[in-house]
Amino acid sequence: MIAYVAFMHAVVLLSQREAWPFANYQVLHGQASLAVRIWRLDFLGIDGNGRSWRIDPYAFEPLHKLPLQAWVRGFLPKMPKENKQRAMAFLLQKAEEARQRAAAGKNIGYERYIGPIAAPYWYLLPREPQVSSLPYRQLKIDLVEWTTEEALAVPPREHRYVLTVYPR
Amino acid sequence: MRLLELRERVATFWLAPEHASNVIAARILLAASGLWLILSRHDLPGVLSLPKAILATIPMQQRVRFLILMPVGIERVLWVALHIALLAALFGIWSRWSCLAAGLLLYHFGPFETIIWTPNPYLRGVTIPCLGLLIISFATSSGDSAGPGWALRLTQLLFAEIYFFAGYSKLFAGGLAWLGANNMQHYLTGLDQFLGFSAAPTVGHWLAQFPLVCSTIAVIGLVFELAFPLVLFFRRLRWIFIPMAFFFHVANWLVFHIFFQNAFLLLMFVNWEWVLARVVYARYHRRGPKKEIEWVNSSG
Repeated sequence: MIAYVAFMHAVVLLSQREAWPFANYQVLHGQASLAVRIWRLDFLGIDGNGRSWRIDPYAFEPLHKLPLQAWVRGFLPKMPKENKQRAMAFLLQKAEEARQRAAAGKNIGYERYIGPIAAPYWYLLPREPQVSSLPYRQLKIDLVEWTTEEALAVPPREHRYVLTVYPR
Repeated sequence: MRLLELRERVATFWLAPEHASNVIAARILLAASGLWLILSRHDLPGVLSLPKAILATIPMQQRVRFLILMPVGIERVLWVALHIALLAALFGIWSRWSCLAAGLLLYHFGPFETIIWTPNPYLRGVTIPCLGLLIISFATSSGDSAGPGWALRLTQLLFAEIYFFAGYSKLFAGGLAWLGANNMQHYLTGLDQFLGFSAAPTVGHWLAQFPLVCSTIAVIGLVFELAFPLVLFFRRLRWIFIPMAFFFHVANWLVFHIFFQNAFLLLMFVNWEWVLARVVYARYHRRGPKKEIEWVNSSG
């Protein structure tokens, strides 16, 4: 067993490829640059008054926001219209369920069962403590892009595009 | 001759006897860590109740690899079984089988968290409990008193690799330029922005103003990561590296917004036999004279 584990780890280390549960633990590797384009998706719930609210990053549990935003950007635009609508309807339903829990003062996301002693995810994300008291009627996903140079400028610059809105 | 000597040294390292309490402590820490994580992940099997439109984007090869082939109802039963197996492993009930079941189920459920994008949930806290419990399940079957030693050392090696591999990947991808102040400044500001912390001032953003501090963070961090495996061979270094590792993770949390769920597994490097002996010794000396007085009084 020692030889097998050592061999597998040597392979993932030297190849810098993943073969979970044998991992190469790449963290903050590579050269960071001011000019590299960074992006994120903002998930927004639009309530009955037409006001948009940033949705808590843990509202879509069991999906975590970071893999979810990668999936949305990678797959959603390429999907047939019907599948896209089903996926968006599901995400809207998750956002609304989380809104109801949060509005009732209940924990959502990783804190749902054991509260503040629960284990957060690897990357911590800023929470959204404020939620609408009205149900979300629409889910809007914005693509936000910037470079670190743009973000550090005075005033900071970013480029925001509407990726999708459901239902239209 | 040298080859034989090396072989003997390797054998001595792996097969040296280990106090049973250290192996038991490792089992408890691994099971507790796994249980803490799964209690913090709401309805992970519910991933399989996602709309078919989303599930269809997961390649079949990945579903086969992690046995993600069963209906959601069965997955929920297995999820409950994982809780039970981890509890049994924690309390040492049928250790061999509970550790094996918990390790296999962690392997099965680990990728659920990220499967829609990647099947590699490394650095999400499950990797070491999964492998560690599997390794310990094999060790507890040997029945030999020196047997579990290799299992503890192998689990410790896996843990030390987290640091070493992270350091190696930085040098592999960025070379020595990774240590430059500019690189660290860009990481600090870029990560703040990517994760969405740029609206308010943060420790990372503040530190990014000082190039010398950034360079120092990079050098100390990288040297620490590459040197951590020394604790496997030089036990005295644990007095320095283990507290340093806790500080490293608190600093990562404050500066990079990174939460290392396995930080408590650093306690696997503590010599629990020594700690227990100290506790028993202290208790004996605290209670000893009192008992003596009681005995004197009762006999008198």
